[in-house]
Amino acid sequence: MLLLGKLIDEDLITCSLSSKDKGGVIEEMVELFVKKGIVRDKDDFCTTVKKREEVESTAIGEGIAIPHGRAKTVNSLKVAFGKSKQGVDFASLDKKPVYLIFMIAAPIDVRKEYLQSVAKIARLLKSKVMKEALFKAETPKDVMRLIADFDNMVIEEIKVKTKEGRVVYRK
Amino acid sequence: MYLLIITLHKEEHLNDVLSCLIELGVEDAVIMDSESMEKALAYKVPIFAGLRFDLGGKPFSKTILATCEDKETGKELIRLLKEVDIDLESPGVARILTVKLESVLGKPKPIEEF
Repeated sequence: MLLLGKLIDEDLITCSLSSKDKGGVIEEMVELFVKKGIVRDKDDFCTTVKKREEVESTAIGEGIAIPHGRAKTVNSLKVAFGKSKQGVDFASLDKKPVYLIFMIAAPIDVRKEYLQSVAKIARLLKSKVMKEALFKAETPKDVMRLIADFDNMVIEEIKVKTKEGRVVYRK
Repeated sequence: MYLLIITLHKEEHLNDVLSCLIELGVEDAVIMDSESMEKALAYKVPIFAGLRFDLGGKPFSKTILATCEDKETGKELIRLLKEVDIDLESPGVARILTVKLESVLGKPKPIEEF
């Protein structure tokens, strides 16, 4: 099972996005990946993410967006988190501004884990408790702690290897 | 390999179920419109029309067929959804069957997200 804590680092988190529009937020968050050496070409990855947004907005409602993309210029699957205090128009399904943004960057050949990370973050944000806590989080450390809590729901349950040798997580 | 059969009577949970299947690495599901025996009786067999009093909502459900490597996938699905307050084990919400397969032919097309 993919653990979010392994995909996100403290320096891929910002709780004070300054951009006021969707394009600016995307560029600001891609810059986090660039600084960390995850993305080699900022313009290329920004274009990928923006093209995906053109297909349909990744703003799923209730103040949340999960922009994502795969590109040749991405070194490894990683997640960045950004929080906007003023809110950003992300062409959300519910037409409301977006405050919490998880951005996923993946290399072109990482397909399955990429899909799994999108699904996992969507589920994390489905949890009312987690969502409220993320809205209240003020520092990258707070966010990392919450993600660790979410992952721990799984970690505590790692018990068994199946006949096929896969580890499954059970209560 | 196993065949996972999920009959979902609460269609509003379909998106969450599919998303969790992706999280569990299950990608080759097909989704069919279906209806429960109780609902078919209530709406198609006049003598059982009285059953409609106990049925709410639309008389349809979704049936999801998928192959998976692990026979615990159904339990995993239930567990992941419980974390977001969806209980597939509540009466009338879903049925999940896992059947061991003797042979599987053909290959699914990988899902390619942009």
